[in-house]
Amino acid sequence: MLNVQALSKVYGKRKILDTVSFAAKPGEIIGLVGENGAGKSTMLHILAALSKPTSGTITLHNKSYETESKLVKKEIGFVPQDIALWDDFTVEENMLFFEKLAWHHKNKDELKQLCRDMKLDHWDEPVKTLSGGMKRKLNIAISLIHEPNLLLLDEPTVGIDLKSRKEIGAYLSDLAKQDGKIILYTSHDMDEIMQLCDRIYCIGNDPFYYQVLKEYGENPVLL
Amino acid sequence: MKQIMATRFMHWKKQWVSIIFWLLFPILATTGITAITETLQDDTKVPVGIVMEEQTAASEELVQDIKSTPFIRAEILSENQSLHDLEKHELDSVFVIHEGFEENVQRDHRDRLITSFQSDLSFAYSAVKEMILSYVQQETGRSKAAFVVQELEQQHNGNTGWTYEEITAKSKEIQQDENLLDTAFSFDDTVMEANQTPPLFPIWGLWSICTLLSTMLVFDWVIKEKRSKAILRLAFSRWSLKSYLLQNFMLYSVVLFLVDLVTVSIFLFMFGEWISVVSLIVYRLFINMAAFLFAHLFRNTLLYYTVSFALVLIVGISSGAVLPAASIDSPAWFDFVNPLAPLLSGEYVNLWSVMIMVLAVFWLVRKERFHA
Repeated sequence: MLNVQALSKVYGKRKILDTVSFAAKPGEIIGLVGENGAGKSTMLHILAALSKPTSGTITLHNKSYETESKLVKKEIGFVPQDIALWDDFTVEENMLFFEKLAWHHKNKDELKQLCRDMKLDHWDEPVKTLSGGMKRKLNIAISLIHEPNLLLLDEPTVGIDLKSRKEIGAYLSDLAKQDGKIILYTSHDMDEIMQLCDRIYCIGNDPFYYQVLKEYGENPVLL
Repeated sequence: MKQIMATRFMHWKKQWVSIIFWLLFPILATTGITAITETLQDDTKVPVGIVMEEQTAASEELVQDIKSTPFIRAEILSENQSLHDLEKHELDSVFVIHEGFEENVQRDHRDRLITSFQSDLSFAYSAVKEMILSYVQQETGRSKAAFVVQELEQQHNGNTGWTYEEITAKSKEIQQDENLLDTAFSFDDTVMEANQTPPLFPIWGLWSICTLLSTMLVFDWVIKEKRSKAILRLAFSRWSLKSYLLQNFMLYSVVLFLVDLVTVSIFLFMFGEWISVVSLIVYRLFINMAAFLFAHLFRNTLLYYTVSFALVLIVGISSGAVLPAASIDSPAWFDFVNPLAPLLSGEYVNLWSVMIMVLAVFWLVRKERFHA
């Protein structure tokens, strides 16, 4: 269970997040929407324990972010907005590289299976020759090597084709439902968000996304 | 560490050509530059023809003495050939060691031991003649002294039974051991002791500069990996960014030190040059630390390479590692901050080393930040 209580983040005089509270259960996929600069990435960074909130508390499976951050980090998988891979390495080398540094070790077959599950077949190809969709899939696959309970994805499907997008969505959906992972997902694609997420949170003061989602027949929560 | 080694080998596998090149660069550059310099020096030597009418120990020794003179390139030729070459001005001068040279030297007969020839274009004849003369006088003097010792022994009924060969051999041994000829130089009222030898040979000076450059360029991995988005993933791995960088630093240091040990063996074998291994370890450690910390200041590798080349050039010129620093008007404090100074003077640390240590401690205690 992920519990976020009265979370605020202030940069200088600018308040990015203002007493945000929500909870997420295992198996849930939560979508975060909002205009650029609304604080979606900031929220993910705080939930990934990459930056600290100005105030508020977060717990993941009863482990406090403040006092047990090292233990919490073992349970987090973070997929950054940018492709965080070694470009001159092959898919295999990237997987093996990060496996060596991971908390939980996996053998080569398990890593290969993880890629296959994501419909990522180009095991021996260098990353620089992969399509955008394949790179995105590998970006996600690496974040799953250590089997995290909380998966945070910052616009993971931006700029890729529909087929890859659907494959990634299907995989994440299975991951949440079958393995009980908590998934937080940011995107600007409303169709994708509505199809994939169990709940949607609108971040920021702009009511635009809220209105759009209402028009889509969703019941978003304003954070 | 095993895991970090495995990940590092994956990087090295991708860049093996450049890694090998920069690891071997100091050895290749030092031996290459030394070989070229020696060839150029050889071309600028005075060509002298030697004609040996007898092949005795004394005449052979004289030829060796002449050959070992830095500014002379001596060739053993026949009399006809040497005179022909002299006429064509391919030789500066010709010296004929006459038959009976050894016998005459031993008997202290100094007349007509050697005949010399010069041409109208011989520019170094006088200097070479004087030098050869000094060698001959040295030998005749030694020979005379040997006979005097033997005579004195006989007069005083000594029973040591020293032979002529034993006495001359002992004389040469003493000459070498006591370094009878010593020269003192002075620059700008600064008196150097006559027996003060240079701290190290230029081979190590040259190597220290090439190594400084190669180390800085090898450590570009710090910039490349720190600016890569992939490094963000370390926040969710068993190692922190700092620990990852530190372990890689140690790995690089071990590899570079192993290459240094190979260099010591090669230089010892090729040039007969030796260096204190402790000084070398300390130098290696500090330049690695300096390159590692310096690379942290950059995000652009091209700028880093440019600044590295410029810094190495400045250090190379002003350190005295290759060019004689005494002739350059460098401020006195420069020795304290010169990274090459401890190695070249056979010491271990200076102010520069202390500064690097302080910066390293500062880096170690500083909090790391990730930017996604």
